[in-house]
Amino acid sequence: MVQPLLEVKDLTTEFVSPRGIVKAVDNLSFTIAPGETLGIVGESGSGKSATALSLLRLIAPPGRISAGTLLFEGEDLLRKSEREMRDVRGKSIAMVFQQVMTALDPVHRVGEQIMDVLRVHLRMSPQQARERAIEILGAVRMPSPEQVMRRFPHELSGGMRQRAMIAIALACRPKLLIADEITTALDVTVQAQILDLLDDIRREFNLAMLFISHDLAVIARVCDRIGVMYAGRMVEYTDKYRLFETNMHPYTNALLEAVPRRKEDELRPIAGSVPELSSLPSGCSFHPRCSRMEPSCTREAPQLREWEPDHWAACHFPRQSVPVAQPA
Amino acid sequence: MSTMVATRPRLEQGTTALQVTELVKEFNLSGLPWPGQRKTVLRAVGGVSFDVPQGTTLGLVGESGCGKSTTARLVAKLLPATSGRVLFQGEDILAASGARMRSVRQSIQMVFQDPFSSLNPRKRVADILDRPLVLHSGLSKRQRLERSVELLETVGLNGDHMVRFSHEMSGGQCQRVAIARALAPGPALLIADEPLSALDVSIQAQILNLLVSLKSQRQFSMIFISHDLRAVEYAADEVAVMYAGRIVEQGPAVETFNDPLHPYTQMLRAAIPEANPRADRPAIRMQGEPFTPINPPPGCCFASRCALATSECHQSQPPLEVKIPGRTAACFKV
Repeated sequence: MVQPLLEVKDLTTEFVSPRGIVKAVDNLSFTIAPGETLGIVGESGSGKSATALSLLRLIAPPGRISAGTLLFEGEDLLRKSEREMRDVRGKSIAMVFQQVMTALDPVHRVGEQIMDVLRVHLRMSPQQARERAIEILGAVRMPSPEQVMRRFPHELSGGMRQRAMIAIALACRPKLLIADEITTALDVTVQAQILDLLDDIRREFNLAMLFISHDLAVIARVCDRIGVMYAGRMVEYTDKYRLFETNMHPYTNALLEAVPRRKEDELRPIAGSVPELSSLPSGCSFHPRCSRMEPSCTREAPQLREWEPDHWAACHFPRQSVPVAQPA
Repeated sequence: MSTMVATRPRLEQGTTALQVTELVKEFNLSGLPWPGQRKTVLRAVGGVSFDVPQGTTLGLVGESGCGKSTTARLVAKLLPATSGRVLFQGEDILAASGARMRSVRQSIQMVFQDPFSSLNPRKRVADILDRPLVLHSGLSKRQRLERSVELLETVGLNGDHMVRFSHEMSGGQCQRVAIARALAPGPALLIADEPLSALDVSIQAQILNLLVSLKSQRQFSMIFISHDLRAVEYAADEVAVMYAGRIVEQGPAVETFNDPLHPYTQMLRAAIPEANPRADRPAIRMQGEPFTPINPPPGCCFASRCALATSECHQSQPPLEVKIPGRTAACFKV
């Protein structure tokens, strides 16, 4: 077994709110191997983005990481000083966000924004930084990189802005890229181009990726392994084939059936709505919406357990080894 | 007393609820006239024609900026059209007076994308539902209250929600209230403009099923607008695929998506990832981005992204013509 690049153990991130302490991320564990892509899928409030921000220690008060270890290349990020963290962010672990227009600085040219990263982290001269920036823009398949260097973000189209963001993230050749809903705001034909680009750069840069999305189809297209989150917890965690073909957790199964596929197929919505983190149901958070609910589910929260080799689920009644695609 | 809603003449099945002909909307982007300034016109909708037969659903699909929402607003006369004709139940509503429109509006209702911003944050659900009933139903206060509760039950909520404000409900619940409000005057045409996009995945299916079942119970006609081909295929009988302000392909929903004719529809279809890790990667290479029709070129707007384009495509606009019985496409190469 390869030494994991990132090993997250029992991560808990909480926010102090007027209604008490809210656990946005609750006892989360996962690993990412070098060059591997882990997808995290979940609905709003499931804790996907809080997880991403926790990894870079970007949780601002009133939020805080209250427990856990974040081992990156064997070192615990939670024990690093703020100065050491600054060196990790953008250099070893980079992040790309959904809201490109707010993530890019509107008053600086794209070129300057890429060069800044290189000058700060790698102490490059302006000339070196410039050459490297143009090279990186080429690597993200930006048309005419020299011209784009002089453009302001508002002069670029949505797809080009997302490419520019990815270029900034890749500038220092990080080992891990965190992508938080990066294609959500894009049109489908542009999304398809960005997904193709991610395939290419993963190979070229031997990049590991944490890819966060609410869209199971996008996750299926991009990721090697997948974790499904619900109300701050990981409810299922395995490789992509098992997740789509022999999933165990009723929430994963319900999510797959709630997306329209073909007209003939019946659309089965999940009853109820995503719970508020400040007033979670007792026991298993999913029990009020669950088709397999038993009285014990309301009392005891199921722990994430390895039911089959490398197939983890947090459910008292997981479905084991029953193919989903072919109902009997 | 509930007569106004109940006895309004409904057209028989088989007739046309809505007939849109050569609808055009141009926005002038030039600002103040300035010496030597070129005139800049955004042709958001560039001559769109379609029919919605009574009791059917027309899906409008396309990417951002293709003119689908503008088309919806023109049809509901929330925006004045630059030219064209909209016949609603045989009446030209673009020519109708303001007073006449007020009564036509009870028959054309809209549901919008963002359920929070489409409900007044300072009004309780009871007031939100009462308003269209005050304007259009002629019912007494007591009857309106009963009707409001009935409406909430039709959309899967109940009387308890009457006292809520929009911030006290989830996105899905707000969207249900917005749908109840649209149903209140008993519309003959419901325009749903991206009603699912702001909702969580697990809630989208609830709202989609609700709209489809309400339509078959209440037999209104619907224009269902979405960028999500799968949702449109599920909800619509006919679809019109829009690109840069024009309809590029139109036909029955299932056929259009299973076997698209126009190169743009093919690209759109291929771009949708499948929830299957063993699915093949799209065979069509995607290039370019959606085109904004500012001072549009004389030829086909899709030509710059199209693998089949020849000089003919850059010079003249391909007309929307019948390619297979029941299906039309605007392309020289099909």
